[in-house]
Amino acid sequence: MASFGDPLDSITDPSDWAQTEYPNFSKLDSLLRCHICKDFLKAPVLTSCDHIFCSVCIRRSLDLKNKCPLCSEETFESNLRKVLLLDEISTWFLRNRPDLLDKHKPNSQPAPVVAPTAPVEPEKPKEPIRYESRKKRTADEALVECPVCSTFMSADELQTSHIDTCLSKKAKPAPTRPTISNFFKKERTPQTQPDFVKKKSKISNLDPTISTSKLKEKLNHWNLPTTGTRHQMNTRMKEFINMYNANLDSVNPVDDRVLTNRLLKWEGTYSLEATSKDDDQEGSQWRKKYKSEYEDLIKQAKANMKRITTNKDTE
Amino acid sequence: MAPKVSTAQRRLLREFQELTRSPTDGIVAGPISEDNLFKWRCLLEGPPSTIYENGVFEAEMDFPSDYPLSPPKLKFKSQILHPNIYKDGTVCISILHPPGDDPMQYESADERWGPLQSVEKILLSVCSMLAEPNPNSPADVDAAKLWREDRDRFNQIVQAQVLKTLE
Repeated sequence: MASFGDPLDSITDPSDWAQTEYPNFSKLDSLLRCHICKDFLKAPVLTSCDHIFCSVCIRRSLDLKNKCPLCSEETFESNLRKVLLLDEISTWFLRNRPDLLDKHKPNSQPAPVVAPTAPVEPEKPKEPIRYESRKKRTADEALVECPVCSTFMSADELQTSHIDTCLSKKAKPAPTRPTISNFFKKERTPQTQPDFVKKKSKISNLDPTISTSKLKEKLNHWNLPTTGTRHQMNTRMKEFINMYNANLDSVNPVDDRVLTNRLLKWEGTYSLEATSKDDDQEGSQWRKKYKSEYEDLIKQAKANMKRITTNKDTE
Repeated sequence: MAPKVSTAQRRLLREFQELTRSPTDGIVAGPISEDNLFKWRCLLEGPPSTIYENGVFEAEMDFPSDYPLSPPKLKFKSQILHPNIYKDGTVCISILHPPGDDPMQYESADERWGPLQSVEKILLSVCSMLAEPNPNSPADVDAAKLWREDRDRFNQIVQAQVLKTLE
């Protein structure tokens, strides 16, 4: 079977937590994932039937049929509502996941043994939790604040391990403690999007009966290529609409130019011609396989033709 | 963190990883080559206490570029006689049919393909299809007829096919 290098390493999975001191994270890990792409939720939206997916995933799915993939209830794109708080949570988790995994790696002492199977029941966490709280309780008498991240811990822990890792991490979320530099740095309030998004509105879905010239006009308007067949242009425009609308559901939306770039990349990996090529291949294989039978049929037909014409001649 | 691979490829890689990490009994599946994640080879064990028991059947899966929105195609490479498997090996099973193109409303919508289904679920459904053929929607009419009318002969043929898969 095939072996995979890099791409497989970039695929994360809830079972990654199984070997850590806190295998229960696998539950949170799987809860924060989209049911369609199985990646962490990106710009999550809520359907009218109360289910959450990545905005772009559910939009692509609803393009095919207006039903919730989870409960099969009728669902429409226009009813999707963004959930910015969840986007922030999911983004935070994704960003801090490698570090969390690392911190909870079992050290030299044998970690509490937990079944390595993926979904861990909520009863199990006791061991690791006690481990954590015991550590905190012994240090209760002298808690000190980390000057970098403002969390409290024992002086011992701060000096031995925490301070180094905390300092080496530049991207740590800003401390809540007001400092002068923070005061001037304008921080966005939680659950809000940048102002430029507020001025934008969603692109309405593509009318399937749109004329090719109108379609080209639309593509031009969004600076998208107008090359390829009508079908390719259609697919391109549809995907751009999904990406554009999904971007407006994100707590960290990107510039339109970034979207255009992503679309072109998507087109590279998606291969718009895939289906037509496949059909052709199948067709040619079919023709090869039944070549002799075709030839027999043609011979028969020719013979029949001759007979008919000769019959006519004799009549 | 620019994605080098498409959504479909990421999902397929993830499913492959999951199947490798926590294998399901009687099922082995994975991409044939790392250059093309859209073609998988699968090995299915015949379900125990059925006539297919002890057989190891080879099948190939073809994924569309918009997977998991559209279902893959599944085709047996090993000879296998079954009412719901076409003579060329293509499997006819509701989980591989996208909902919407069933004018007779014959199959209920939740048995059909949806992005929440997976390779593992397909192969498990195929296993249960092997155990319990559905004679009401035959793909191979001759097989269905034989299965209904001359079960001994049907079993004989399958037995021979099972032995052949072990060669």
